[in-house]
This record gives sequence, C-alpha cells and structure tokens, in this order.
Amino acid sequence: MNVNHDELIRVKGLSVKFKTDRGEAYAVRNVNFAIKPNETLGLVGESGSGKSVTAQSILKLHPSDRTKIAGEISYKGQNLLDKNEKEMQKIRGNQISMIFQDPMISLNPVIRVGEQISETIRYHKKISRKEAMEQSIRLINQVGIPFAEERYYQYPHEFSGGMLQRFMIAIALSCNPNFLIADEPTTALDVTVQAQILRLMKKLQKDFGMSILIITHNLGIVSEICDHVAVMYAGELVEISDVIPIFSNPLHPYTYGLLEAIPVLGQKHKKLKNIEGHPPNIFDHIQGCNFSPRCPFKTDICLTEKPILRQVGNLRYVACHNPLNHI
Amino acid sequence: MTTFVIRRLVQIILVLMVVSVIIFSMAHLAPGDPALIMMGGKQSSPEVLENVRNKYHLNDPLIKQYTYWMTGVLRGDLGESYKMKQSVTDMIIGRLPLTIQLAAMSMFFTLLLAVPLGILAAVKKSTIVDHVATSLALVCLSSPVFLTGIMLILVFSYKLQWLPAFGIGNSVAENFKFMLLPSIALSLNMIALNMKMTRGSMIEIMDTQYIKTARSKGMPQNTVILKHGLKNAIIPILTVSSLQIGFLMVGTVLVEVTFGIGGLGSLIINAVKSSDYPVVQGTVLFMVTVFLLINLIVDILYAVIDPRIKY
Amino acid sequence: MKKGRIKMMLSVFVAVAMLLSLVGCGGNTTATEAPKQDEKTVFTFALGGDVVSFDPAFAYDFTSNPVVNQVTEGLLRYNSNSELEPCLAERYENPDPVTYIYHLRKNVTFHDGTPMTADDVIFSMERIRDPQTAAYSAFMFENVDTIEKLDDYTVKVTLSKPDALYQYTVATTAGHVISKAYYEANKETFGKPDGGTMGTGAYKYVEWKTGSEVILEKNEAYWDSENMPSFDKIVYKVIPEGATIVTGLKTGQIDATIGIPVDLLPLVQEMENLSVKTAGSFSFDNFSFNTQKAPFDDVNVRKAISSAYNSQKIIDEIVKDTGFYSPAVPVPPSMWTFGRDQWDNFIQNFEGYGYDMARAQEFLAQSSVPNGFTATLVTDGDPIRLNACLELKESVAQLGINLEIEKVSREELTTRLMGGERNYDMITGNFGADFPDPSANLVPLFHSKFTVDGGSNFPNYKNPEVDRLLDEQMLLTDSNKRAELMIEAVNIIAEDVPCIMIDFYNNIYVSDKNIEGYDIAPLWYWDGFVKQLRAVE
Repeated sequence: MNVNHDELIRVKGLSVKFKTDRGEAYAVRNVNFAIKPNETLGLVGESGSGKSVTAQSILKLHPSDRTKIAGEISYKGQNLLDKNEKEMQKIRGNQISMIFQDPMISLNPVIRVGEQISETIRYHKKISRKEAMEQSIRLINQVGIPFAEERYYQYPHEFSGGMLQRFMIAIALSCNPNFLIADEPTTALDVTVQAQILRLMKKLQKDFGMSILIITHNLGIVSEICDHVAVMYAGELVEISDVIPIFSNPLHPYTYGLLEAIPVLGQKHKKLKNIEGHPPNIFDHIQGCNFSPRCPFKTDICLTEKPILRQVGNLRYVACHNPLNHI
Repeated sequence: MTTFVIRRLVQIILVLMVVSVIIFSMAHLAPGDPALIMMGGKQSSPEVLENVRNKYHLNDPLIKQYTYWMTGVLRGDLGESYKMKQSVTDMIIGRLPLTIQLAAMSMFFTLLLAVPLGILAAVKKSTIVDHVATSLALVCLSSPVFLTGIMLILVFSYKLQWLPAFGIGNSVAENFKFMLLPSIALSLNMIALNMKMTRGSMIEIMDTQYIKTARSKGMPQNTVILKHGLKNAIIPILTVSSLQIGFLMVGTVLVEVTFGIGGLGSLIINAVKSSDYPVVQGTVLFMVTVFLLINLIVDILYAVIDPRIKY
Repeated sequence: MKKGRIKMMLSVFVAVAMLLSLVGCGGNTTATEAPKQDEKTVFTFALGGDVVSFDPAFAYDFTSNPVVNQVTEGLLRYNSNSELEPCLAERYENPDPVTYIYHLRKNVTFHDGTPMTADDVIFSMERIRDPQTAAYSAFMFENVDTIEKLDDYTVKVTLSKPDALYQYTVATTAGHVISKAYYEANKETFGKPDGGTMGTGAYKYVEWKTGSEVILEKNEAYWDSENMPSFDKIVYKVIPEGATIVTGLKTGQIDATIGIPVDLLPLVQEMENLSVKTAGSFSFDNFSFNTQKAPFDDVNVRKAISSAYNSQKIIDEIVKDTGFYSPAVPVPPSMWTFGRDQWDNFIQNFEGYGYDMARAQEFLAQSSVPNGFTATLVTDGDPIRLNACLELKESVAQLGINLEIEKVSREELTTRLMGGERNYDMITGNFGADFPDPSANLVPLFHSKFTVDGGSNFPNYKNPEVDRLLDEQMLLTDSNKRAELMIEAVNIIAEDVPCIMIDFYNNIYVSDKNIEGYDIAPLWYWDGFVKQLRAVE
C-alpha cells in the first residue's frame, strides 16, 4: 500500500469485533483506505456489509464494553484508536463530524433546532451564548433555510425530512471540521430532495474545505459527488477505485452485479437483474471467498482460498482471484 | 388549548356528580348509627338522640339527605361534622396544608432517590450496580408504610433520639423536621415504581438515534444523559408520578395516624370510624377533585414539556 | 463513560440527609430532649384522639374532657376522694329535696376580664337543657324544672321531683360556666378552633390545630389564689398510635398522658424517667346476656355460662396492672362513697356464680337447653374484651355451647350497645359512671327504662321489682336508706345474672418523674388537674 503523506485520514487494518448473546463476531475485517484533504470517498455496499460500522468506528461511537477494534486510524498523524473518550469528545463535532441516515429521528425532539447547533459551538469553541446563536443563525442560512431567525426557535417535528437533514449538516459543519462522515444521508429522503442535499454538500465542501466519507448503497450518488469509491462486501473491502473507471470497468464480480442491478430507463421488457442469493450474516464462516456462493464467475480456488486486496493499477485495488476485465 | 381545558373541566364536573352519589351511598352503608356514636358510648336518652337525629336530618329518606347535601356542596358548603361540630370546609382547609407539605416532601424524596437511581441503573444496565439498585427498590416496595413508619420511629426517635417521633411544628420550616420521618416512610414505597420507570425510559432513550447524534457531536456523557436523555424521560416519569398522587392520598392516612399529624388522612380515618358522614363525604369528594385536577394539570404540563403535543 | 454527575448527586443526597439528622440532633432541644428543669414552663400531654369541641355541651369523652376542664369550670368540683367541694359556687344549700341554691363567688372573672355573674350561670345551664343544643349531657338535667336568678350571685334550681344524682351534675361539664356575652358574640364559631371558649379556669384557650394539637396558656388572673397554676403553657398533642406515645414519653417529648395500651404498660413501668400512678375507676368491661331472647331468658343458662368463665385467668394474663376484678355487679369499692359498711357486708357474704365447671354443667342440665346450643357473641377488637370472649368460647364449648364470635368495629359496637334494637344474643361492652354514686352504674345498666335508644341497659333487663327499688332510692336524700335499697336491688340482680363482669379499669397516669402534684383519681375526667402540677428538681 502506498503511503501518502498529504493524506488527511488513513484507515489501516481496521477490524471490528462485536460481543453479542450468540458470541463474538467480526463485523468488519481488515479494512484499509485513505482520504486526502478536500476529497470525497464513497463507501458502497448492501446493508450488513459493514460500511456503517466502519464509519462509526472512526469516531469510536460503538459501546466500548461490547466492541473490540483492532488496527489503526491515522488522523493528522495520530492514531484515533489510542485516544480515550475525553480526547475523542474534543474531536467529534469539531474536527470530524458525522451526519446520519434518518434526520427525522436524528434530532432531539424536545430541544429547539437552533440550540442543537449552538450547544456544539459553545462546547467546542467556548464562546458566549449570544455569539453561538448568531453563528448558528448564519449556518442555518448557509444550509439554505430561509427565515433563519425564526427557524432557530422551532422544534424538529415542525420540519420536513429534507429541512432536518439541512439542520443536521449545519450542526456537523458548525465548528468547521476537516472531515465529514455522511452515513446514507439521503436514503430516507425523497428523490428530489436527495439531489438538493447532495448539491448542498458539494457546495459546502468547497466553501468549508473538507473531506467527505459518504456511505451509500446508491451508485447514482457515488457518481454524483465522489472522487473515489470503495466497495465492501460481508465486512471486507472487495474493490477500491476512482469513480469514473469503476462504472465503465468494474473489476469485482460483486461490483459488476451492483451496476447491473441499476434499472435502466427505456428497457421495458427486461426483468430487473439482481444478484442471486443473499449476503452472509456475521456468524457464518465461509471458506474461501465470501462472495463465492453468489459469484457467477467463481472457480475452484475461490472456494478454498481467500482473495487479498491487491493493487492492480493506479489507485485501483481489487480482492478477487478472477477480476473482470472489460478493457 | 383553552377548549381542551374547558372540555376537561366539564368532564371533571360530570365525574364528580357520579362520584358524589357513590360516596354518599358508601358512607351511609357503613354500619354504625352516627347519633349513638356521637354520644361516645355514654348515657343519653331517646329524646336527646331524637334531637340529634332531627338536627342532622338523619331520619329523612336517603334521597332527601343526598339532595340536601349536594345543594350545600354546590353552594360551597360541605356541611357540618357530626362529631366535631365544625364546618367540614373549615376542617379541610385547616388541615390541608399539613397533608400538602407531607405529600410534597414525600414526592420530593421519591424523585430525589428514584430518578438518579434509575439513571444509574440504566446507564450501568445489567451490571452489579443495576441489579443492586433494582433489588433495593423492590425491598422498599415490599414494606408496608405503617411498618416502615414505626421502624423509623424506633430507630431515629426512640434509640437515637435524633428526630421527634410525632406531631407538628409551628411553621412550615419547623414542620420540615417533624415530617422528615413520615415522608421518608411514604417515599420508600413509591421509589421502586419511579425508579423502574426512569430506568426503563432511560434505557429506551439511550438507544435512540438522537442520542447517538449528540455523542457524535462530542457532547460529554453527562450532557448527553442529563440534557438530551433526561428531558425526554421526564414525560413517562411525570405520568407515573401523577398516578402516585393517588397512592400518596392513601399513604398519608397511614403515616398521619402513626405520627400524630392532623392532616386530611387522619381526618378521613376518624370520620369513617365514627360514621361522621358529612366529613367522610366532603373529604373524599375533595380528594377526588384534587386528584382529577392534578391529572388535568399533568396533561397540560405534557404540552409544555413536549413540543410535539398539541391539544 | 463517567457518571461523575450522578455520583455527585447521590453523595449530595447522603450529605444532606446526614446534615438534616445533625440538625435534628443538635438543634432544637425542646423537640427531642427534655429541657433542663429550671427552664420548664411548658407541659406537654398526649391525647389518644382529638378534642371534639371546646363547647362544654359537647365535651363528654375522655379526650375532650382533660382539655376542656382546664379552661371552663363548674359550680362544684370533686376532690381526690370523689367528694363534692365548692368551685365557682362558694357554697350551696339544699333546703328540701327539690331545691338547690348556689351562692356564687364574687371575685371571678372570665379570661377576657369580664366578671362572672348569675346570668352567665343560668345561661350556661339553660343551654345544656335546651333540646335545640342537643347537648350530650342534657339528660343530667332531666328532672330540673326551673332555674331562677335570685340575685347577681345567687341561683336557685328547682327539680320536678327528687333526684339523688342531680347534685353531681354541676361538677361535670354540664355545669360548666361560659360567658354569655362571649357566646352571643361568637355563636357560629364557639367551641371550634376559631372561637374557642370563654371560661374561668386556670388556663385559657389559645390555639387548636385540629387533629394535631391544642395550646392553652396560664390565666394570671385565676380566682383561686391558693391553687395558682405553675406551668405557663399546656400543649396537648393528638397521638392515636400507642407506640408513638410511649416513644414520646421516653424521649421526653411528652410529659404525661393518661391511659396506656395493655401491651405497652410493662415497657412504660420500666422506664426510669417516668412515674406511673394508678387509681381504680368506675369503668368496667362485662359480658351481657340478652335476657329477653332465648335461650338467655333462662336464668339457668346464664348461671351456667357465668360459672364457665374463668375471670381470674383473664385478669392475670391480659388485664394485669391495667385493671382489677370486682365480682357480681359493677359497684367497685372506690364507688362506696356512702353506706360503706353495707357494701362491705354485701361483698363479704356474696357467693355468686364464679368459675366452677362442675356447677356450670349442673346449671345447664337443669336449663331449657341441656344439650347445648349455638349463639353469637358480639365484640370489638379491644384486647381485653376480645381475649375474654375467646376464653369464654373455649370454656363453654366444653358444655356443648357453640359461641360464634362476631367481631365489629368500636363504633359499631357502640351502636349495638346503645341502640334500642337489641338484636344480639350476647355482647361485650364497657361503661362508666359519671358520678361517684353506685346508682350511676346500677340505674343505666339495669333499669328497664334504659333499654330504649340511647340507653345503656345492655342486658335488656326488665325486672319490675328492681325498677321499683331503684326508682325509690333515687327520690331519697338519706344515704343510708339509699344504700339499703340499692343493695336489695343488687341482691336480686346478682341472682338473675344478667351480666358477667370481666374487669374494672385502672386509671393510669404516666408522667415525667420530675413533675409532681397530681394523684390520679377515679373522676379525673372532671378534673382541672394541670394547675396542681409543678416541676421539681
């Protein structure tokens, strides 16, 4: 793996193990990627692929008594996994922020929306209530909500999903972070609103100057705002690439399956293609490649030996014994 | 909101009318002749008894007695106590402050102990701390109030002589010392329910997405629990607490007798024992009214606390 | 994750709790410890229930009386030998059996400074008589015809017929004198917390927090300069719970009380800071047969059951120091205020129907139900009465008699005992005379006219001969002749066995050792005794 010294964040060998009633299991195994300043990485996969777990591990949001995290998360030269809770609190919402999937449940229903922005600013910047409020109102404007001064005093239930997600973004950006993690930020929103939010995120990324890690299962979003893509399956990375090549030239059969599954306008009589079978749950132990039960291109070696993620080009990685090649 | 309140008040009045019939019937069903009981087992004569009965309309048919009483109530006159020869309204008003102070102190101690315990148990769910706290609460729940009361007297008044065993002081501030033991006796019973409610709510709340958001913003644990978590948990706690007002009303009877406090509780008990119908009817009616009004106030409080609720 | 804030809150609570206890401990000593003797100006007395009213017309029970008697007074009062002596009347004349002339003291003022005159006396007594008042003690004036004012300090009472018990009336609350002017100005609130009362006693009314406490204050202008009160203030605390009273006595929070529950008396007797004084009373518990209802209309049945009752056992095991036993009829030695030798003679020669199972069998065999029967025995939860019932039930079971015990509340028992219906088979009850005169127990219990509503003829006993004798003695003033007639009646009653005696009460006065001046008497409930008390070293 190339080490790039102008990287903002590098995730190295990240493995996350959960303790549950049925025993311990890996949700994420040996994940590696890096993000440069002002770049956007899309982390793609089905539900249960481990992408949210990966994202939340960066901010160490999992309950510490039930989670074991191994590996290294390097941010500004420091390993986040070595930091204690108090140190992480200084980073969260301040240098690294996160927004979540369903804005309707992501904001506290009994606290005014403006206050939920202001408290973040007050905690990290230690400025007065009045100043924090003024900053919050400006932020509300910036995320495209008019009448910011009235809106400040309203409650979450008075807004639509799209507006709430804008507030979430305002909260996330309130302390001018370097890095924003967006966990399926538009999945719960209408299609038209989705586009607005994505546009907003792109604009703010430029205005504030930050990197984004966006988690999604929607390749359309990936094509819109991502610079790079990483594909996960069953807790492991299967392919990493720049955004354009992956659409024209997917290397992993799973990536190929995902692309094929996107319905195309105009093709009326074609049955919707989907990948046969379903992803394994975390307690399943599959010998060989995790995807082999579903892979239409599997060979014998796929059933016995696990493929490792290896570089096959400039910023191009794949974990497959038989990568596809349509060039 | 105003229409809501008005509608509820009308409902309350209707309920009270029905309740008044029930109370009246029950008071008169209890065995015992008020005239004879007034004489306290001392000698009297049929003439004296007849005088007493006429004075209090005891010979009239029940419906007439009920009407007589209700017309008085609607005028604000709850009648006169058979035994004490005082206006029932005056007796209630005179003794109400004591019961209020007792109930308030009990509620205060309950919440003071139950809410932090509940939060602690929730945050440390399934650990030793959780189990100990829950068991402690259950022990408190199981002890009858009068037993706890007498035990507290034995320990703190009899043996240690730290606190007075009974009675009241001359002011609200002085009463505090006298009511410490009885209000603790009462609160111990209520702590269990409040604590479990708090614990359950907090566990549910700590699992929500908005708590995760708060943590992802870097908010410290205390802020997360108390500002973000507790504010949401208050609603079910408020519900449970308002129901416990009912328990408190019964509970004050027990502690007032044990601790020699002349509040509404002891008033009712003595009145029931001496078939003092006007006092029984008046006080019970009063207590029911208070209970209904408190529930109304709590409902209004919901709307104040939870911005999602609109009537 | 730090729970710092929660831990802090809990420790704050613990700290606050400890602080509070320190406050209670080190702070106000008068609440938890007895103050030093030279500081003692307040006398605290525990009442087992609340005062009913400060109006003497309704003060007719053991919790109202000890309070009311300190504030209002009667024309006469009792001394420690239960003899009448002057009070507000400095002397009285009884020129003929139906006339009583009272000469009032001239230097008596009410607590508001106004002088007491015959107008007040007449007003007070007429009030009691007035059916409108529905006074509890109205029956005492049954035979009074007229009350006249002879002059400002002389009152004449004329009876419609001689009444041997009338003389005692004015020593009870029925004879208490209140201020006419004050009553008329405060008609609505008189006797209640707002109005209090206006009397002439050694203490005046200050405050009444119903259900909790009563406060009285020394009357500096009390008329009886030889009996001036010592304590500046009396505080009565209402404490229904016996255990709490005992705790209060131990800690000194209470100075005195009268009456202690049976099971707590041994504890109190052992406390070193207290003195316990006992005096026999005129009150008693007994079983009554309903003599008008089969099979209890058969005297042999009554004799059989009486002979099956082991009275001594109950006295030894249950009653102990709280009472004593007197056989036959309810006239204990303390009541022999006249005709002492005659009563003594009666008791010495009396055999009666005491515990003897063999005799019991005999009597039952001779009765109308030789094989036994089933009947109900009504009682309340009082430990003495209930235990006596259980003992009797077990005993008569051996005779083939099945006594089912019906346990009711105290108030319901009172209703059954005093109501005219009298539908019970057997019943327990208690009663106590208001006057130091045997007829005060005998007449209400055994004269047939008291079987009606409000009467206390529990055994429903109707014997014309007994009625005649009791009526006759009531018209006499010659004590010896009265005693003779009463004992004749008593002999008949004893043979008829309408009741079985259980026990007589002892009046038990418990006080702090360092407070002296009062030896409890049978008629303590008409006494203004607090003025006699003094704190000593």
